[in-house]
Amino acid sequence: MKHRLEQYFNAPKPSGKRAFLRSMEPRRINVRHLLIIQARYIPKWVWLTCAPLFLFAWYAGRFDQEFAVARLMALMPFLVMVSLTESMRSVVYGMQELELAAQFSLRSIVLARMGILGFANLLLLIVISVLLGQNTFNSVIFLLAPYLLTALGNLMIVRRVAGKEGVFACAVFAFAVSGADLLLHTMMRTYFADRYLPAWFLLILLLGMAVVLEGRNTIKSICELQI
Amino acid sequence: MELNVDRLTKQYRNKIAVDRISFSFHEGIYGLLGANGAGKTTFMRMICGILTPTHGSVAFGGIDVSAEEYRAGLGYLPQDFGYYPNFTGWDFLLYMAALKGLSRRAGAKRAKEMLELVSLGDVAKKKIKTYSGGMKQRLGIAQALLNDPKILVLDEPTAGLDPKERVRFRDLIEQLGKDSIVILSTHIVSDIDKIADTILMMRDGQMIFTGSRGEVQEDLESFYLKEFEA
Repeated sequence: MKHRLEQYFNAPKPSGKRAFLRSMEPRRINVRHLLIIQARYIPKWVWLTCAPLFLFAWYAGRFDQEFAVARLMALMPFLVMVSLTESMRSVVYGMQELELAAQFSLRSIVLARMGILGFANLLLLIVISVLLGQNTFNSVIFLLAPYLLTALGNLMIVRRVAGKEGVFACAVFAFAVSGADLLLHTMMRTYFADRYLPAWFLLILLLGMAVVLEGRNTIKSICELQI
Repeated sequence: MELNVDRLTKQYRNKIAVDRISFSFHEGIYGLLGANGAGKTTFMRMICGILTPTHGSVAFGGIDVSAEEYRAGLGYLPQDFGYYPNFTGWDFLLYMAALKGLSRRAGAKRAKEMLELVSLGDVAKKKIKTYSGGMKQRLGIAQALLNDPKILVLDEPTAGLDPKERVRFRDLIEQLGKDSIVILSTHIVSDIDKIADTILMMRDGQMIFTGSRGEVQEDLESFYLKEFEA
């Protein structure tokens, strides 16, 4: 019966299908969808860089909090470097022009990546600070200092040095901040006492503001092709 | 629908790369010719919304170039493009499909169709870094066509393609030009000679000739050289 119906009542061939599909409104993509797309394309190894920090905090925090904080401060720059260069990878790998011409603006793409990785880093920071035990607030302040300093430096570098050379320069900067952290802990431990906390807090505020400003300028510059 | 370019200008510190160009594009194939440094790529980038003009505007059906709706109907192949190092041809097209607003299913379907169209179906799962120059170029053409664009801008699309691939590409563009605006720039005059409905010539940022292919009575290459000597 079905076969006979198909024989006698052949569906007409589609005509004007392409014109019809083109006449439809383009699909709107919301922020959630954009975040999911970008999260899916962040390589696994970027997420795995969080693991050593997490494990170290969990292990070392049980024995000597001050030692753990000192070592984690030295590791923070690398976390930032990985996250930031991943956020800017359109520029690093020459995909900028293609992504600029896509439906989603490149600005949205970069902000999505920065948002995802920044949020993940913030969560990690809080978890690490809790794992370290006492004085969670102090730990967050001390860990934020090299984090924000490296973020500021890397943003300035990415805006001025294109491609893989930029990534290399960011790595060098991260190493420099890390080394400076270790030196600071070795030679000037008194500056980590509670009475210096307001000064650290002020430093975090200033660095935070500088990072926001520099971040805005960097995103603006990569979203217009530099000739 | 019309693509309107109105007094489009791009000026850098002491150079005017594009100088007050006004033109209206309709469905068909536009061949853009010009020497190196004439301003072709800058012009095309402004049409794609990649560069902000110093003055002037670009709009398609009244929609400004900066709007998401404009870019939704745009396909662009740059002169040079990169790719993320771990991407296969398949991954690359799926990623671009997602950025062009296609759902996962629609993106996968289109990616498969485009890979067959550009004869890269067999190597879709191989990493792009293993591709030859011609294969990368074909992949670039495939991504430009993913969203069935109403405006297709191709900058040196036949660079790196062998003669057989160039013929296939020309046939493809001829089909697309029937109901899309196709703007292609190339140094290979014969590519434009065979398929362009309208010829545009640029020199020093200005449009020095615009006319249908039929208006050029002689061999296009001779005409092109004559215009640039004038």
